[in-house]
Amino acid sequence: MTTANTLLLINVDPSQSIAWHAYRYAKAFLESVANSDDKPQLSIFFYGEAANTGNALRWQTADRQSLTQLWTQLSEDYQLKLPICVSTALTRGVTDEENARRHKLEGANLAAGFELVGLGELAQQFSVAEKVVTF
Amino acid sequence: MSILIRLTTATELATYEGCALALTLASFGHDVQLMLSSSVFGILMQPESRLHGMIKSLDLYDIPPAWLPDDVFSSWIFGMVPSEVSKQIDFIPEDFDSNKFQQVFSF
Repeated sequence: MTTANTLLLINVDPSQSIAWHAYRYAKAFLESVANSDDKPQLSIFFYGEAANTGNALRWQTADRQSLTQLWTQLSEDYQLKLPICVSTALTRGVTDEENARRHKLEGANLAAGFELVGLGELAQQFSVAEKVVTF
Repeated sequence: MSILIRLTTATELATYEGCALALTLASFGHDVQLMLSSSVFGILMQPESRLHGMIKSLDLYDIPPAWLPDDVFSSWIFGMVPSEVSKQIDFIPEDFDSNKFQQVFSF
């Protein structure tokens, strides 16, 4: 599929169809690498509206898969980090326990596998990525 | 990496998040160029908006003036914002080619 270190920058809300393309791209990339001698790195960054992807309280009807749960499973299967910009997450009511305490918010709702990070981490990911794909 | 960031969504939050990304990437040594569509001019004109404040400080981050579309609305906005903002915006070059950028982001 690819031999380049790749960064997926995901900006879209999980309700948009393109958000599913991002997930499928990541899954295909990781499956391809697992069956290959090449070991390019895949990194992910959720920014803006994509921060909603990490909301564990997003309810989904039974006839639809949960994109949040699929990302969590992918993270478990491949030890994939799922960083979300902390500022965009908090703005949208997505928080981990640490930030909930710091900002006096009632409860945490960050889905398993996701983590809140500063925007500087994205800049560092840019520095090592040979290929950037934006969704 | 050369990066073009287009601000087109007319919300204070979207313009802030696009601009915040621009300033951060520039701080890490990336070549960043902002482009504002006329849809965000209303936000740019509001002194209390974060877009207004961040555009004022572009030169502190070594970011060149933000590009505006070359139309009547852009001519109008130059006269509607204070000088510290107007000196941080400019018309888009006639030879603009988005293919010259390695990445193009839209907010």
